[in-house]
Amino acid sequence: MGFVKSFAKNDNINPKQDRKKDDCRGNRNLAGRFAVRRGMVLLVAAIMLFAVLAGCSGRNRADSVSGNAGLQSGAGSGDAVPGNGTVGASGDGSGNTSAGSTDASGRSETGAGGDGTVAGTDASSEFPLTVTDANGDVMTLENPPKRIISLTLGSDEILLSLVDKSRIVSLTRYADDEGISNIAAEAKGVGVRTTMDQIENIIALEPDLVITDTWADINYIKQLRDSGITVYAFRTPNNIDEQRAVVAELAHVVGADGKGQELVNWMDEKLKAVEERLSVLKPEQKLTVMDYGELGSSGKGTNFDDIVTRAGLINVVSRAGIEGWPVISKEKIIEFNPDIIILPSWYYDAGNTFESMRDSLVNDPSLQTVSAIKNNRIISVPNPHISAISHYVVLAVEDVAKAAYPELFE
Amino acid sequence: MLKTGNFTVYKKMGLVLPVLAALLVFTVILAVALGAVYVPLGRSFRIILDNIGLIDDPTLPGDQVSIICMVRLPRVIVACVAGAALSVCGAVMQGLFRNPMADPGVLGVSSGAGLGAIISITTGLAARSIYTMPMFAAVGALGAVAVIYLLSLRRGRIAPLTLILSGIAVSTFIGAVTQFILIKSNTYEVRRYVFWTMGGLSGMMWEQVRLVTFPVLVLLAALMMFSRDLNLLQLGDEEAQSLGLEPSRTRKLLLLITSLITAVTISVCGPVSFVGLIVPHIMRLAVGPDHRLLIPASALGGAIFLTGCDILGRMPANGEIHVGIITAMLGAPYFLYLLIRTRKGGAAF
Repeated sequence: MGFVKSFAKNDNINPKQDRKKDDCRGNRNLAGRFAVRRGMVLLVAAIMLFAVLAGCSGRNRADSVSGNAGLQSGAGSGDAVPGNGTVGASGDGSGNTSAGSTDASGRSETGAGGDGTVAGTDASSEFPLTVTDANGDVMTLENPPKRIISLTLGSDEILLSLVDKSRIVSLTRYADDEGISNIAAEAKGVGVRTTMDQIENIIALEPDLVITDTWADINYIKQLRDSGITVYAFRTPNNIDEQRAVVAELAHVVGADGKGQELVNWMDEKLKAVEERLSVLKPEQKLTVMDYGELGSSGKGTNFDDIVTRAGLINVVSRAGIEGWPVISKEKIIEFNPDIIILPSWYYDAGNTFESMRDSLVNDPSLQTVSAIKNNRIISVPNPHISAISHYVVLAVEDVAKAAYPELFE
Repeated sequence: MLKTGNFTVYKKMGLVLPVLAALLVFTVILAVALGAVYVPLGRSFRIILDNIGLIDDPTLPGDQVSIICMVRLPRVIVACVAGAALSVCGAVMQGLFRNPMADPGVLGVSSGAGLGAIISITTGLAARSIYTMPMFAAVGALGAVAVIYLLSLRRGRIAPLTLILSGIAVSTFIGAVTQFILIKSNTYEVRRYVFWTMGGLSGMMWEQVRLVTFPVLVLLAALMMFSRDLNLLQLGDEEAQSLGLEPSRTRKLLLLITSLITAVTISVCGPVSFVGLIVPHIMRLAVGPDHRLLIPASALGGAIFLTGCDILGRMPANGEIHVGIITAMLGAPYFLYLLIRTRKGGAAF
């Protein structure tokens, strides 16, 4: 610090004078020459640095390519899609059996994921297995993965139902949070906890498969692939049909098609049971609903919308043609006049609870004409179900249907 | 040892720059050696030597080779280059506008880049290729600069005050557009954008190194040649002109170069806050206001500062802290400390 101070003192002279001394007495050329020389030195240094870097990365890429056939970074082309020569029609189609045949509800269009595989009755996929993930990247798994890292809560939940715990080396830390996870108890003692940005830790765990979603930063994905790790990204489903496809898709990737089919069947059974209960419901008897959370409500194209629709309700937000997760103003709540308002059972802000949120709505003088408030039908369903990005989402359909039409479930 | 000073700037240079360079080398070694996963220092060196091809050691563990060569090295290099780029641009802008508050953000580079980033995220293009987001950010940044520049152009000359004011206005406007897009986006997209604005060096690969290193170093070298002109500009336009400088032309050129550098840097690692403001000021306190010394010192200082902050950011075992947070949290108090100390010492600032 004394060093800084003494310099600062020495420079106490007006900078203008200092400069005049130097620059105005024909020192210009000297200074100019120095600047030029320094620039040149820097340029040379830059080029040298560059050569070293190019050498380093070039060699390493060669290593990683030879190290894992099938999974390679697009050799410097910058293309996120691996330039894979081994993709063959046979490999891609291996587990791709009729999608519609096993689909109980008859809706086979899923739109989720690359190959949209729904495996048939055969026990498991054949390895080496070539798959295309939801980002369109093609990869080959030589053997059924035994060291799996899951980087989303949804895949945590699906994986725990699909494979033996010993094959999982890491889950997300959300898996342990009872407020959002369906596997909080089950996940105890399974693997470690990692997030995508802990790249070094992920590499050090030496996984043979990393599962993430398409929201993940592709820089991370590429970095892991460059390190020789297979990364599979699935697309976050926006409805239960897509969810069904994701379960089957992940089951296929980990070589557990049979288990995947069991899970899908379980989902269909659950849905069918609710459907049967609601079959007596006439269209004009259907109640209206909306959700009201910290981050807004849910409109068209959301999981929530699909859940409440299957639970025999009409989502007023999507009926109004609103997509996504809008923030609905109080005026609109009054206008929409829903019969039921669903509040979350879990809040980002720990200061909020279901009771406090309900009371603030019930005591709001402006909302007294709203049907849900007049009839005291502000409900909450278990958050792990309704926010699930896994097969557990079907439980939310049951929860909502039971809360909305208790008389049908007696 | 530095008690009396009739140092000329070159003598000072010979003293200060080697010290800073040594510090930088030390920081870089530290940065490669430290991280979330422990790799012994000696082995880190062997891994690097092995990869350059100087030694051949097949016994090196593969995961550690990946960690050093694919994760840490590119990251450290980008940190050095970005730190140097941002702080030199800060030094130049402060000199250019004779305004101690000027930093690359004044030109709307950050907000323009932010708009580009959010557009690439919400359109889903950012998920297609690792180059899309940097490209959008760079285009946004340069677009914002162009608008601000045209607004402040008057009869072929730039009015510095108009430039700063219109910079603030345009930035605010672009920020509002960005926020408008944000409220229409889903949680994941918002998250991605917010993380981007924090400025981060995680996920840096050789692709980013290639993207940023060459243009930035060349342009920095170009800036260095203007250091004498920058000194002249401190005298005011009229005096500078009487000494044979065309202030308007110089200013335009410098603006072009700095905005190019900043755009390239920000497009790769996000708007890392405060580096452009604090490092030049610290260096000015340390080495004085002469740009011939200030610019190279800022380059080295910026590289040291950002690399150092990044080391701290990736130390926590349970997840990283974005480097932009560290730069601001460490930088601001240290800057204030320096400021107060220097004031007490009676030195002019």
